[in-house]
Amino acid sequence: MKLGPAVTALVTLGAMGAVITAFSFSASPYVTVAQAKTASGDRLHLAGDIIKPTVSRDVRRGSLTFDLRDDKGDTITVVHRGEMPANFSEAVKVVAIGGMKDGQFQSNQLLVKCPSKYEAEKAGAG
Amino acid sequence: MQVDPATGIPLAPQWALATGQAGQYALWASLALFALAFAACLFGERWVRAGKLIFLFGSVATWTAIVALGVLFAQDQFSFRYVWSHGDSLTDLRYKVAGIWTAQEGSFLLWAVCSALFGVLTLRAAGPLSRGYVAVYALFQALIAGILVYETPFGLMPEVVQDGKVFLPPRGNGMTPALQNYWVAIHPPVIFLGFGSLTVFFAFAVASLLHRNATEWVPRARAWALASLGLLGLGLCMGGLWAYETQGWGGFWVWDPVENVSLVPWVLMTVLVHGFIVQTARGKWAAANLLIGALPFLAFLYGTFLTRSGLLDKVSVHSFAQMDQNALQILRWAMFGLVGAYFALYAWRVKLAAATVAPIAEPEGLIRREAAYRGGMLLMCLLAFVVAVGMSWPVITALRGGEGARVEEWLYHLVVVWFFVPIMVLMAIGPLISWRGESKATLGEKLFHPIGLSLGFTGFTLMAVLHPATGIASQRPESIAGPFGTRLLALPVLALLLFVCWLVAITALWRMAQMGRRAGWTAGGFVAHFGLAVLLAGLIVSRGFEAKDRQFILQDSPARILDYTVTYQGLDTEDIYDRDGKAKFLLRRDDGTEVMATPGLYYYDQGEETRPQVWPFIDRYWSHDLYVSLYPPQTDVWQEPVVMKPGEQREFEGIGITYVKPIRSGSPGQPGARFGGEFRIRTRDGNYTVRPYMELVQGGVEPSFTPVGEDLLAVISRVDAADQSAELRLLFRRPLYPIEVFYKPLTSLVWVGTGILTLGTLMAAVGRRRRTVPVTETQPSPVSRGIGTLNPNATSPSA
Repeated sequence: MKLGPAVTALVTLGAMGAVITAFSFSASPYVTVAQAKTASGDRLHLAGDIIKPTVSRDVRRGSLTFDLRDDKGDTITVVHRGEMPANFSEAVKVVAIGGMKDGQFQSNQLLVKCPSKYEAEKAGAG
Repeated sequence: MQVDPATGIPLAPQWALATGQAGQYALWASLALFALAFAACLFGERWVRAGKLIFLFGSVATWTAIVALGVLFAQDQFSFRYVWSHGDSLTDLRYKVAGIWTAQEGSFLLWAVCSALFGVLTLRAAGPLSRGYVAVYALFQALIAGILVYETPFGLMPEVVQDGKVFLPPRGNGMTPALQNYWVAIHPPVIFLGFGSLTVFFAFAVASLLHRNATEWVPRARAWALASLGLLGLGLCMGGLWAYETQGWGGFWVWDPVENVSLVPWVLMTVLVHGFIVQTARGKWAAANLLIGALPFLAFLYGTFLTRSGLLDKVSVHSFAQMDQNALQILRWAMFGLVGAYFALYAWRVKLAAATVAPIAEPEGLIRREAAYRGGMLLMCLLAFVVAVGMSWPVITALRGGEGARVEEWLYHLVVVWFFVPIMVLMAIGPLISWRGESKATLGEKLFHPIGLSLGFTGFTLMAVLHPATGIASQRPESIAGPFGTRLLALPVLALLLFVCWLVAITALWRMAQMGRRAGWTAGGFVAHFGLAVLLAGLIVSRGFEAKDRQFILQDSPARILDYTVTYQGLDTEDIYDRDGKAKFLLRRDDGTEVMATPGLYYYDQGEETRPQVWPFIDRYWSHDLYVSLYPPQTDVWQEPVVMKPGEQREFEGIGITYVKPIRSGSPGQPGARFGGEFRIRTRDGNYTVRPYMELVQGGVEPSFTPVGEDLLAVISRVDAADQSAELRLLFRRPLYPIEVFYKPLTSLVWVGTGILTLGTLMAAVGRRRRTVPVTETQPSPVSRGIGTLNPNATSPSA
């Protein structure tokens, strides 16, 4: 007779399972340079340090090119299409989102991590 | 001002050092007092009054600490590390004071202060539950005071203390320029009031379990729950509006972890507020409410831990400094301890507590209002689950090994919509069903007009947005991500979302009209439903039907963006450091209408570098926003100068450079002497040989700005005398302004909806003040009955 609670529990667990499945299949993976080179997909998240002297812009094509070094020390050339993020000049670490194309990492979105500058520049006072 | 006689450097005044000391002592005092209040309540029922008094003193100590910090900020006492890091003598008073909560230490203090405020306000409301209530509340306040003692904002900078003297730096590092906007003075206090109020429901839920009484807390906490919901909602919306006005994303919500951490408690508080309605009207859900009451607080505690511990470092646009390790330990144990202890207590006591409630029999064979509530609230809990799991996903996946993965905006949208649509439908239907039940036929009749009207209004809205005369037709979303990697046509999906918003809005108005004057303050619930529908419709339409495009704008050469021809018209000020500085862009539509867009642009010095700060420009109309986002102007071709040795040849994307030979003239050390070099530069426009140099002048060196073809300038910024290497920069002759223009229809609804939602929730809170409960209940109150059938042990101290 008391079918209600059982159905509710079943639907709830089903929904939770569906959510977790959806996330498992479709969440965008963080990759290292080595993994990026073999991975497919265009929503890869590649995190690493910008190698500052390699940064250059191509205004006509509206792109930004730089080399990126990941935590393991591997480097790769990243080509970002679109404008420079507002705080790119302060950035040390970035997350480039995109996929591999012709041996380069083509990024269509850059997430910028700024250094915690207050911690680093403490010594300047006094 | 006191000055050190030996060096002539200003010293920190005695009163400031005393204030800092007082602040630190106040933190210690609050830790001791809250611990004492906790102990008093443990001791016995007789000591609860004393416990409450001590709790009040502990709260006063906490407030003293924030006042002390505020004074140090307002008076520019940069000897203190926290004040130096986040304050500056040159900013407005509001930004100085807002410095309190721009970083970790201060925001913990703000949390403690707000939580203590609600603790003091509810001391009397706790009534027979006081012993457990005060004990739990004081325990949490003691924990957060413990965190603050380690994570203190009152530490001096080590560099300013020398030979027993404390020096006073003349200026502070200042608040991050990107935060300097009026919202920084408003949004954090509001949302932290919301967060602080969550402790109330946690403490009530635990106290109810301890006292084995699941009814007593409902009328006592109900108005506070609505107030808390209102504050959280207002805080959330303000955060979105802040991001919209300053970040230049052209949007309100990006599912950032920090946003999600505040969304989860709001969703769960909504569930609690509706749970209270059901428990009051039907005497049901008592056990569920005890769980839901604790969850918003626990979820926020978990979220704080997640964002502050550095686990999400890669994911968030918010950056947080590493926490003090001792403080982090306390936070970790507080979280695991409180979550674990709560669930253990719940499992142990919930049956005893819920046994005090007598449910009202439900009608048979009819559609019940309680069922609509149950479905809706279950879906809301699942929505909170989606957001909580989504924000934790990088950590969950990283624990399984590998680098982890992140849930992006599109995936949130894809998953959330499955819960959103049924929730909205239930939100529309629920109020039309009476508690006594409804047959299918009568419900169908009641729904007939609202559905018809909603369909009509949806069509009307779509027409207005899509018609070229009233909207913009140049760009329209064609498809959006669907499940299993499919693409769905955007228009039908958006139409469906808009339809459910209209349905909720219309049924809410319908019910308000039916209730008429009789409703009074309690109509607040429907006002809130209406406001939420308006807000969501605003978010959906302004995001779903936005048009956007971006271009680089060169001086003297207009560019085409959307329907506009955009011309750069210079800066409005000579002083590039002027914080109110604007860049001017004329946007002209083909029909001749013009808008002068003035996004903010100024520069500030950070160390040796001069950095730009930009603000978007928003032209607001009732029908749409024209949102012009300026990115930092590009002057340098390369981000960093290139260092080259003579004879060296290098290639950068599109540009080849050869350092042919160094050139010197004049006698070294004398004004007029020049150091430079000959470079061959190959650009797309041709090959150029240039000889940039630096000239020694009175008081320094001056670089030449040597033209390279039409568009570029070459500048030597340094020459090494030893190995002749030169540092070369290439500049654009005319800066490039990257700008992005968004056309966002009906963003005004977001503002209006926020206002109505908050107003409605607060109205309901006023309507549910405790003394009005018997008056507004039209049905026999199960609460009074619940109290009548109390377990005889209910108010006695727990074992």
